Order: sequence, then C-alpha cells, then structure tokens
Amino acid sequence: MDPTAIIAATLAALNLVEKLMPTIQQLGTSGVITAEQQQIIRDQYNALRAQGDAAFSGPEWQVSQ
Amino acid sequence: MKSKNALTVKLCAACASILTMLLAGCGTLDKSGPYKGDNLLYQSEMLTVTAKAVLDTYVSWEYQNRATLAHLPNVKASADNIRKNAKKWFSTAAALHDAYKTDPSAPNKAALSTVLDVLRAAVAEASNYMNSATVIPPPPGAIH
Repeated sequence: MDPTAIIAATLAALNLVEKLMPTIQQLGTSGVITAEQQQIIRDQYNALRAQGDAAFSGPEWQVSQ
Repeated sequence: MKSKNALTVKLCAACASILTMLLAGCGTLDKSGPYKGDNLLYQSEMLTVTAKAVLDTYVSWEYQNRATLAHLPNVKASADNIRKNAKKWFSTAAALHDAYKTDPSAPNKAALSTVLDVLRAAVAEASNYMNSATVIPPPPGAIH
C-alpha cells in the first residue's frame, strides 16, 4: 500500500471522527447532563430528521459498482 | 513514520472512544431538559446523531480511498452493506423513536432498543474496519 495514501486515509478519517468528539464525550458523561446539553442533542437530532433521504444522497452513499 | 504512527494511534483512540461511549451509556439527565429524564429517548437521539456521523465518516473514507483499500475487499463489502441498509435502519429508528415518544410502553421500548442495537452494531463494524485498515504498516523504509 502507498504510505502516502495511508496517511491521507488516516487524516480523512481522523478529521471526520474528531468532529464527533464533543458528541461522543457527552455520550460518555458520567455526571448530570444539563438541559442545555440535552437541547444540543435534540437540535442535532431534529436537524438530521429534517434532512430526510437527502442525508444519504451524496456520492459516498451510492453503492459501488 | 512517527507522524503516521501518531495519527494511527490517535485514530485508534478515537474509534475506541466511540465504541466505549456507545456501549457504556450515559450520565443522569437533568429532568428539566427536553427529554424530561427519559434516558432511552435521549440515547435514541444521541445514538442516531452519532451513528449517522460515524457512518458518514466510514462511507466517505471508503469512497475517497477505494483504490488504496482495494486489498481489503471486506471494507468495500461492509461499506456497501451500510449504503444499502442505512436509510432503512435510520427510518425504522425514527419511526420507533416516535412511537416510543408517543407511547412509552414496554413493547415500544423493546422495539426501539432493538433498532438502536442495530445502529450500535453498524457503528462498531465501521469503527473496527477503519481501525484495522489504518494500522497496516507501510513497506519498510517508505516513510521516515
């Protein structure tokens, strides 16, 4: 495997995964989850639901040939 | 080599964190929040948001690096399986979420929990493949 491509793949995955970290960290919160924190999740959820099928319409979501 | 190893370790840690958090559950909800203390409803929405982001990451990563990942056919097969089924999984989760929200009965709770397990399994699979694909070492002496 081309090592440069490995780094590119790793960076791409890492950048995307890092975007999740605030949500992931909240999921693992062991204390009280405040009303404000809950509202953030509710807003994200509603935004995702509002997208409907469009959330799966990008080229990356097309089954490969 | 150092930078690649550091990235790999960081990515592995992120993937491990995802799995740990998804499997570990969450803290106590402030009852004044929008979920009114209903942990399953909160987990449902949290997991849906998180799973969509993780699966977006996974299919994008596979799509953008298909040639690089050609020696790992299971990755493509796994990503395609997610592409084929994700819309159904999420629409089912949404319907069962709404049913439970309207009527938090035991059957509705069980049905919602079951579909959330499907999302958890998809996230675990995606994380495992991203992890395993990025820990493969490059040829000796290729990057220093």
